[in-house]
Amino acid sequence: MWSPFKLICDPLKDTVLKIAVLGMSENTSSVFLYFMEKYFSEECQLVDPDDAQEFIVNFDSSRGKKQWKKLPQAKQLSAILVADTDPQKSGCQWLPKPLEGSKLVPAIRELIQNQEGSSDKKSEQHRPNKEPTPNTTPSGKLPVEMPQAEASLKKRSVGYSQKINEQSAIELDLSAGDIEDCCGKEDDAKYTDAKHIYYDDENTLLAPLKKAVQVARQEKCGVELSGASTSICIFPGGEEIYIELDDRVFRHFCIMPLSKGVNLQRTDVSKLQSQKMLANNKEHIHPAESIIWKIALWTSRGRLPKDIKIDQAIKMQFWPDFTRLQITPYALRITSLWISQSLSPLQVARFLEIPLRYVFAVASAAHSLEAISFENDDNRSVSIGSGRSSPNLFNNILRRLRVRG
Amino acid sequence: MANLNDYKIIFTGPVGAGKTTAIASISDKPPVSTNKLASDFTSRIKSETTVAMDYGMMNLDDGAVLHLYGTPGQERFNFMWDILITGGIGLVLLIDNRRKNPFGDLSFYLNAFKKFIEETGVVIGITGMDVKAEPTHREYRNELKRLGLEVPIFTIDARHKRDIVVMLEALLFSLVSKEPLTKS
Repeated sequence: MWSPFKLICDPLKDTVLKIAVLGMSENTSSVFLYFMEKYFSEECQLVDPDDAQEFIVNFDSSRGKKQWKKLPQAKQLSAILVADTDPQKSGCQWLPKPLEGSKLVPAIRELIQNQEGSSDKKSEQHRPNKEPTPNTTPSGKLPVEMPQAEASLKKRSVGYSQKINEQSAIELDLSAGDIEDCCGKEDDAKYTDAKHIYYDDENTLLAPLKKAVQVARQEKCGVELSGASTSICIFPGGEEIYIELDDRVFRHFCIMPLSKGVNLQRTDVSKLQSQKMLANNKEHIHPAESIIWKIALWTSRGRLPKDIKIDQAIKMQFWPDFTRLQITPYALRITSLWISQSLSPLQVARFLEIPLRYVFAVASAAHSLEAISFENDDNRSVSIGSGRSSPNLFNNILRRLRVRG
Repeated sequence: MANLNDYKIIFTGPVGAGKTTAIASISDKPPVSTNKLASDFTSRIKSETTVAMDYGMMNLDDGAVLHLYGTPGQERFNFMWDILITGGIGLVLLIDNRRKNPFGDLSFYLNAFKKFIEETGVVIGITGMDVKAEPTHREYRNELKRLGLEVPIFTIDARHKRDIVVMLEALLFSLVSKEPLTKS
């Protein structure tokens, strides 16, 4: 039988209360081992059942219950029984699951006190100091003072208020060409008129595609887009989209205005399934949110959809699934700001001190996933801090993630 | 030995959700058992002793260290959790989509760490989506909305370093953004 406890019985500690756990998994047993060593190291010790004076029993385990029944009656009566419901064993301490540290500590302390009460004078001489160890409290509450690492970590400022100026590891994945295709290359100075700032997605592939996905989701049917420059099919349920063209080519169609209307056509499932089967190259089948996000980026190229005004306060309703989406420069920090605050695109760019095109790109892509809500409070302004140069913990971690990413 | 430049991030979630793998993917050293970290304990414990909790670390600049802890034990024996989170700067919650009731798991862990999450922050990673696609990411978002939470939640593969890096970065940025901006 597995037992980590045989080696840790210290013969010199003959006054230490010896406790065994019964009916616990190996992992849980080792957690108990760690717990006891950390918080009761001077007072009790985990040992094998044969050497134990007291027991902690998982009473929902048939093995634990069986082992408990084999114990001498006196030991049965002083055990701590951990169970979903009270097993009603008089004399025993019952601890309900989930087992909490705040309840386990006083229960163990009671075992220790009972042991001390019944111990002989010899054992008193061995351990004259009955005061609680620094790691535990007489009240039975969880230790206030945490040992070693915890003690030094507790209640420390990590400098949240300082700005992050390190580049994200993920943002650095993108090539300059990819960034330009997603965010354009306009300097802020170029955003002087509506023509440079806004685009109308009704004139592009984005609007009919979003509509087609909506239909596929609502009606649980397949939808085909005809009149686009390439074959585009949305699978029933709207979670997957087949696009015939490769990303590299397709992105250039996204920025072009549609010369004529695109028609939505409901399609039977079998046709789409066979198309899916024929598409040996999985690269042509995209998760819907992922490709809509990309198309929105390629369509906007650093511009705002006309629905969002540059000085209008907006908020993001949820975090997009960034592990499965194209991440553009500053996308994560822009999102975190817009999740927590209602701000205009202009304010976000100013606060983060980043080019407008990156903010517009995220706003456009998030809008395509219906993640943007419009706020009435459009007169907000934020003061721009001056702490960018100060290195802090987060910059430090970001630097390391960049190396590892 | 910990010092004033030590910080920690806690990884939690059901058994098999990918905590060990996630920590391993970004740790400077292979994850080890915290049993083996207890200095005076090391010499007394067998090398094959079951790992109590996962531990990894990242050496930062200026001698600072970011400790990465995976919570030990099963849901019914979570007595170490409240001790482990002390001093943590944020929580990474991994949910295994292949389990019977992933929304139940989500709710359980968010509730178990409620106070810590309120004081710091949380990022959620959903694993096993490649094996079982539902609930979808969209359904998780709706569930979080129902719970009144606007926290980062991502589809991840714990084996992919990039996914774990995105999670940690999102956690850090959301911690920063928790502080209100100054209104002029």
